Formats: sequence, structure tokens, C-alpha cells
Amino acid sequence: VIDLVLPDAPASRAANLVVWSVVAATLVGWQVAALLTPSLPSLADVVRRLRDRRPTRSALLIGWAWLGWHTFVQGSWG
Amino acid sequence: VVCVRTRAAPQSGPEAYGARVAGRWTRVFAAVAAALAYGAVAARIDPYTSLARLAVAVPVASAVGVAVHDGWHRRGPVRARSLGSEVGRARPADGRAHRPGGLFVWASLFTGLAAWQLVVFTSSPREDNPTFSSLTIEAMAHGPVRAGAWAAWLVLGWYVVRR
Repeated sequence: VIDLVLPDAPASRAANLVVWSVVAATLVGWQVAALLTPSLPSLADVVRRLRDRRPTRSALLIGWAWLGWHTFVQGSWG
Repeated sequence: VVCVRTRAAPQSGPEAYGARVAGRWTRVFAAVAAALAYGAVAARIDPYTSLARLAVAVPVASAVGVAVHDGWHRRGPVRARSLGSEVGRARPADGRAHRPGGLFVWASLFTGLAAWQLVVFTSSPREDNPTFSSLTIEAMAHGPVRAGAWAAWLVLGWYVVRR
């Protein structure tokens, strides 16, 4: 049995939000860099590569459907 | 008798290329407009209702229908539909020509994102340890954000099956 021990997240909400901001900024920054540099693959190129194989394009479609279901059917906003 | 002559559409050359690019942008704008309209209506639907399930099921069923029509269930690459490389910046025809480290960076970034999501998901309380979902749900308390999220999800699905 493998006992997976994950590190704890920072105890404050502000610190966690900073980490989320850094993650988002890194993703956006890399996408912008890829769009400005033809030799780097953009997110569109990644999607195109994923569509080349049957298992990965199925996963892509299922992931998109799950995202919609999780967000709009199971979301408890308000 | 009135005889109307129409010029046949060119099959090749710069004019045909321009027409194909213009057609593609028309389809892009039409898809975005349709997604915004659908999102504006769907944003009024409460979660956990049959109507919410239906509002998600209709685009999903449509996407699956398009995917099957395009041969997604068969082996090998799906047939190219877009003029992506023509309307965007010049790119290699396939991802293999890109710098090899580029895909590795994307894989690393998404692995990092998933790892961080797992760390906060297993931490509590949720108020201090927001996950991607809880942040999204907080933002979606506002109707316009909800409408935008619907539209973004629909455009993403269109992009995945039609690109």
C-alpha cells in the first residue's frame, strides 16, 4: 500500500490566492511567449497534438463535457 | 428573357485563399455570437435542476455528434477542417517541427497546476484553501460572469471539435 503524503497548503487564504495568481500568470505568460515565438508550441498546438490520437482526443472531449457538468450543473453559487 | 451572369468562385490562387480566410472568420464570429446568446440565457438557470442538465447536455450531445461525423472514433488523425495555419501566424504544419522542449514545458505547467489543485483540495478549511472550482463558483455568483463562463465553455467545445 502506498501512503501518499501531500504537503499542506499555506494556512492563509491570501497566500493561497497568491499561489493561484502565480500559476495563472505563468500559464498566460507561456502562452503569450509561444504566440510571439513561432518555434514554441502554443496551447492550440497542444490541442492539435492531442487530437492526433484517438484516446487523447476522446479524453479531451470527455474533459470538456465534465468541466461543463461540474461547473454549471454542480456549481452552488448564489 | 433576363440573363444574369455570375462569376464563378475561383478555386485557387490569392483570391480563393482570401475567400476561405474570410469564410473562416465569419464562422468564428458566428460561433462566438451564438455562444454569447446561449450563455446569456443559460446563466439564468439554477444549478442542480433538470433545466441545467439539459442546458449542458445539448451542447455536449452536439459536440459528440460533430466528433462522430468527423471520424473521431476511427484510428489516426481526424481530417483537417480549419485554416488555422493560414489565418494565424506562420507555424510549422505539425507540432513535431516545434522546439522539443516546448511541449515539455506545457506538460510541466499542467502537472504543476494539477499538483497544486490536489494540495489545496486535500487541505481544509475550504475558505482558506480555495480550489479552482471554489474560486470559479465564487466568481459565478455574478450573472455576467456566469454568462461569460457559459460562452467560454461553449467556444472551447466548438474549438475542440472544429479546430
